[in-house]
Amino acid sequence: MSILHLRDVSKHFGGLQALSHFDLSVPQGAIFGLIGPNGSGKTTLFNVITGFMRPSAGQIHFNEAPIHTQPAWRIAQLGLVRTFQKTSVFADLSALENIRVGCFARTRGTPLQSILRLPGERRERRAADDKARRILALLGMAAAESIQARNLPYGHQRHLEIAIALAAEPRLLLLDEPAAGLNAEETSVLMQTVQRIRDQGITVLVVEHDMKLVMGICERIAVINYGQKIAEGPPEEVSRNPDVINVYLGEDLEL
Amino acid sequence: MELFVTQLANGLVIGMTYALVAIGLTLIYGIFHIINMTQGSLYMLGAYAAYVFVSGAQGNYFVAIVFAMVAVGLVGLLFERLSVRPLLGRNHLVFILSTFGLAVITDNLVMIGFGPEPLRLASPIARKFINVQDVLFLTQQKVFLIVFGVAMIVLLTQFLKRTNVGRGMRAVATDQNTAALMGINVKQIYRVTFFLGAAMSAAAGALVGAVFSIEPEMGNLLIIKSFAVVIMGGMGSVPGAFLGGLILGVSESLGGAYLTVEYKDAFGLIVMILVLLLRPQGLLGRRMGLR
Amino acid sequence: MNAVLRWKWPLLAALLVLLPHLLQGEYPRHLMILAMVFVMLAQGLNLTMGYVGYLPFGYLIFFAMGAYASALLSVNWGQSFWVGLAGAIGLTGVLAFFIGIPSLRLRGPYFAIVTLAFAEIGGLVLNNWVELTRGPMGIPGIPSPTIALPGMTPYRINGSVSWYYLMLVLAVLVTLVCQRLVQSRTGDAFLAIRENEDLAESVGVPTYRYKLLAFVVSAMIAGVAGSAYAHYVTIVSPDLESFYFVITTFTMVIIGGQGTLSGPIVGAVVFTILPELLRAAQLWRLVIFGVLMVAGIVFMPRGIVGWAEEQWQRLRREGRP
Repeated sequence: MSILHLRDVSKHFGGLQALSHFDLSVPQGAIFGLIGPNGSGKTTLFNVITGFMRPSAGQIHFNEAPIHTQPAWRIAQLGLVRTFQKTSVFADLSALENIRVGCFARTRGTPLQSILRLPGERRERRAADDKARRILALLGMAAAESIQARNLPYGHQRHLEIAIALAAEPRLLLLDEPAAGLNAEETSVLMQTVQRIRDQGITVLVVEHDMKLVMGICERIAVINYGQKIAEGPPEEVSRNPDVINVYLGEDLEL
Repeated sequence: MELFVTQLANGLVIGMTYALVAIGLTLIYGIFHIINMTQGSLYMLGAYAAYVFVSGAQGNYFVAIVFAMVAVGLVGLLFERLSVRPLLGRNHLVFILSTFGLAVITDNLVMIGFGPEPLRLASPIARKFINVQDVLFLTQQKVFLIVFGVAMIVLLTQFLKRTNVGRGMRAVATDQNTAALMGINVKQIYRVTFFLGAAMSAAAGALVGAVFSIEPEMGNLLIIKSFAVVIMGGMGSVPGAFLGGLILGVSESLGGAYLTVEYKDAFGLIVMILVLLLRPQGLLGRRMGLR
Repeated sequence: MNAVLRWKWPLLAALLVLLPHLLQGEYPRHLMILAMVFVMLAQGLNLTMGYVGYLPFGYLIFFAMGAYASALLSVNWGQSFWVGLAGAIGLTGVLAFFIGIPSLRLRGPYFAIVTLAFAEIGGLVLNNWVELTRGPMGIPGIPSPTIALPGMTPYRINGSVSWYYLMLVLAVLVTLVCQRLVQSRTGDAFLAIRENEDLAESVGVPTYRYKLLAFVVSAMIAGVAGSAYAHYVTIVSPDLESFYFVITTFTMVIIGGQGTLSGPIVGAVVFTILPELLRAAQLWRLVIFGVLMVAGIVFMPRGIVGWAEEQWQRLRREGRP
């Protein structure tokens, strides 16, 4: 049973073929890894899946429903939420406010209800605050509640990003190079966090450069190069694939 | 036929001023992604600087043009120091507001100093006519304006292509960080660009001031029209600004004669809105970089 | 000190209600009325500029359009102030909707410049559609509002005290609408767009719709201010979108404090009164506003309110070691 299904997806920019005839099936409940060298099309794939770019051809289904024509915000509301490669938080907002924005997708209050201050809208907002506090506590950042995101240490900022995404209650979470810039210790904390997220029933698709992280936590890995999938399977199998070794020649696979 | 040719020639004169003012905008935007709202005020200052030189100091009009370019170029440096340098690294929208503030200060100080009434900038060739085949009567001033403008633009493009500083400007336009790593003095590039932008606007003011009259508010509508020119020609493109300026000047002049006088000022604005919505990279250009 | 803090809202309300009786003479009251108009204008601008982070440079056209709509409805078609006010809100809302739809696809400086272009076109229309607007001469003789409730003799707003109360009520209502919008799920969306539009979109905020909403509400607030101002000064002309109003309104929001609710109020009141205290002539006033605007942007990026908050936080930290 796959939660995300890409069929024959292509994307080109002018003459440049960034993705060609890409097929992918992410099984429900998995931690799925996507690796590939720089410029191989990983981020383009992410942007196409999450609606930040339209595919030039092909279909993308999420929970059986087609999403390749939907705007990014709608895809997020359906439960497919991403993070960004470069640290992306709402820099001038407090940690709590950051996560409250993440609750947007799961709340319903309209502008008119806000102006009239209807009791339902007030209740919903208090509930969002409580939820944001719970998520902060879960990440061990309760003390940072009213600190501006820009003033948080780097590791906390990266955690906050994931917290924002979690507040949107995703069914599939896409992490774009979550370990970039983290040291070994922070990376292992991150790996535990990703596993905890999966244990709550959220499928995780992680794009990563850090081989150790991918090989360590992913049940299944797809390898992309020049916009094409060159291998897919369990980590041990992929790491023995001659094509993959060829692509990563010179890089230390450390297995 | 006579009307058409006359309007065409007038359109080229107006268009040249748009082009010169737009060049400053397009350089500064192309290189630093900053919108310089003082460009219209610098144009106005150019006209007043020439006026002071000619009427106040009894100087020669042609020397006055050079004087205006240098003096206003220095004012451009001052503006850069006051409203751009302290804000580097902040959101790019603040530059619109800070330079707009300076423009308001400048316009009103000139209004206080010289009064609101139009003044006459005297040029020795303003009333000498050239008769082209009995169809077109042009003042020598207008012909001079076009020739001088073209010369300035040719000089500027050569400067950008052939000198080290010019190449540095193009490098900064492509990638400021890489340029800085390559040892290019980015601060100097800021100064040179703002000086050149101001000097070009001042030249336009000093030239067109002798065709019409000069007044403190002469740059108000010009800034947004020049922006339209820059959008038409593509951000960062000097030839685009030149061509866009001429096209806008001519279409305003012809449209004003044959279509509507009241709304001729809206042409550029409407074209700009359409271009931005339909073809954001400009009619002629790529989106980024400097040419 | 704590007692003052606890009672700050009732105290402020009492002060605002008593103010026209504390101020003797027409001129101080006139200034307070003007300040209320600017409170509205600044709150409207702040919604799009301070909260959503988009710079609607042509904002003042909505002030002018609201004033003209109201003026035409009452002078040409004999309608009451209240119909004029509704017409002003409707016209500015519809205009902003249709200007916003294309413009809000653009980001950053492009949006600012396109709204400015629309405003210039609007100005050309006001100046040149002489049959309707009388061009630069403007429309004089706009009547005062009348309040007529069933079973009550109609009450005519006339004189500075009753005008003050009307403007006060409008300014409070506008501020309340802004407050409730920004302190809600909608406000979260606004701030998210300002801080990081892509991230906002990625967690399900329909950014384009919320930008459009903010822009339309901003314009409607400017329309309210325009309508009320038109009936107060009894004449409208294309000057309503002149540099004077543009620089004044933007300076008020910037120096008051963008993205705060009290910033526009502080800015509007201070910058209505300050030029009077300086007894500056109109031209010098513009120079002063220009200087304050540039200095404010450079030295006080979060405005008076942001600066005061920082000082307050520091005092509290130092007071409680």
